[in-house]
Amino acid sequence: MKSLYCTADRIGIETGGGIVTRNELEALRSISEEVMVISADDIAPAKFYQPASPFLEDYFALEQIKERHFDLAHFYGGCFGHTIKWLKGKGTKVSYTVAAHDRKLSIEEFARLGIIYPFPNISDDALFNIYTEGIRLADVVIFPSKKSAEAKSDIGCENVVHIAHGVNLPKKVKPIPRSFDVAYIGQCGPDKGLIYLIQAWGILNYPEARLILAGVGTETLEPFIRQFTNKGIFVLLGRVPDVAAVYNACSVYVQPSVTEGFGIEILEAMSYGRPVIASEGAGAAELVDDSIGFIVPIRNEKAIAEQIEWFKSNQDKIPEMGQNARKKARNYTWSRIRRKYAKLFSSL
Amino acid sequence: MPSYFLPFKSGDKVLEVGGGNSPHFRPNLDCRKIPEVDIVADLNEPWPVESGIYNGVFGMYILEHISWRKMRLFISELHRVLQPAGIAVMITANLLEQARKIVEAPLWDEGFSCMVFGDNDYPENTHRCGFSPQYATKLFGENGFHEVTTFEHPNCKTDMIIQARKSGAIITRSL
Repeated sequence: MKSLYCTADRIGIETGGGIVTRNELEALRSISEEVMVISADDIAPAKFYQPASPFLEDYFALEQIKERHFDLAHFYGGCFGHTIKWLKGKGTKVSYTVAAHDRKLSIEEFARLGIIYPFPNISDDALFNIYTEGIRLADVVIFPSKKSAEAKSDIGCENVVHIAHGVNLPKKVKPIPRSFDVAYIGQCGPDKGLIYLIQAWGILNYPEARLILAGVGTETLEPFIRQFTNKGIFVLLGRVPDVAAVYNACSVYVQPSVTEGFGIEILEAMSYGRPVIASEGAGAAELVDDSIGFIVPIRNEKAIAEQIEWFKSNQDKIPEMGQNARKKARNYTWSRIRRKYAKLFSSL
Repeated sequence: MPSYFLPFKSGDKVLEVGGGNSPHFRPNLDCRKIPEVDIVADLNEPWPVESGIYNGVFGMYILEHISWRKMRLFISELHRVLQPAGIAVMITANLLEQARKIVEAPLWDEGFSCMVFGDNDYPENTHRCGFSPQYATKLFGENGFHEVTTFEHPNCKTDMIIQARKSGAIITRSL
């Protein structure tokens, strides 16, 4: 079988998208004789002096495949309507992974922070319709969570399946530290809801416990933190070469997302044996039950603070809940998830 | 000032800025080399004062003597020397109220020049900037202060008190 793997992300980099694309590609390779790969650098050429545009990415992807034939093509993210239309015309089966955010919530959240929404292809209905055309044309659409799949009516797609993202179980995990620290790893965009975690930490105002914020952009949050709270101890790490150090340093992990397709860090924290507080906005919150942690409403700093305080007051419960989390994470190893992808690809 | 009480507690380390020959707190940072001044420095430049060591900074009729070109630097110096949750109190002229008073006055006298331009009893002693309460709030907020409140001076309608609190959040950069 000849296959195409096409994504607007950079395959293999240490972000949610990078990790997912690496594993999807591996799954596709496991059932194909040959896989052509098109990723971010191929569809946004550095020497093409035009503003970045998802619609241009579609054009560049299409230009590269016109001379080829594929039995199967898998897409992750981005906008590939024309490319998929062309492939379908040639009889190629198409699958598409969509880690969709709730666009209404996303647009609202930028507005709440006074930031102009930077993605017209999401906020403008007509552009969104073009942006999502490829998803509607796909033979099967994979959402990583039920939360993310709620976008199917907005996109207008059918034949939807649900395959969660995965995790590589770390071989060595440090025990829960004696000090009570809380961590978040990820980017800092408004959809991530960091403002609510920062405010929660200010409400708690622990004299010794630290809120560890790691990930690209977290190193720039000092003015933002000072604007939104008057209290608390914060550790701003920025991008970290090794996420293990952060998961191992915390007692509890918090994902306060307003809207997020999955939130792979929730699963990672679970794999490190850490209990989790996840907001309803994070797709991976569906993995969290009361034996592992808590689910809180979105945009609710008081609810986040209450659950952190519960862990602070019940620190003896943390190791057991952490072990439950790690046990559950074993069901979501990338090797299992890749097999699910491979089975789906083979069935098309 | 019967209806405004300084927010400093007993035992707080408070730096006075521009206290001249009659400081309320010590050390007293001022441009004049006189016995009552503990740290002599040009207040339009970065101060020779350690960062983050004072619970409070107090300044009485000093802000209006700083060049408007240097005001952001001056406020960021106020912020820099404060501990987390420290408070700056600046008593200064409210130029907007002064302007209202002038516009509404039936007759002028030299008192208006003194009010707007300063006492001029020595060469540096002139006013070099002016504030409305809204502008002061904006400027202190933009230069790092978390909570900024302005009060009308209880004894003088054309003066105001700016009370600005530095965020108490403690921020570190390594695990």
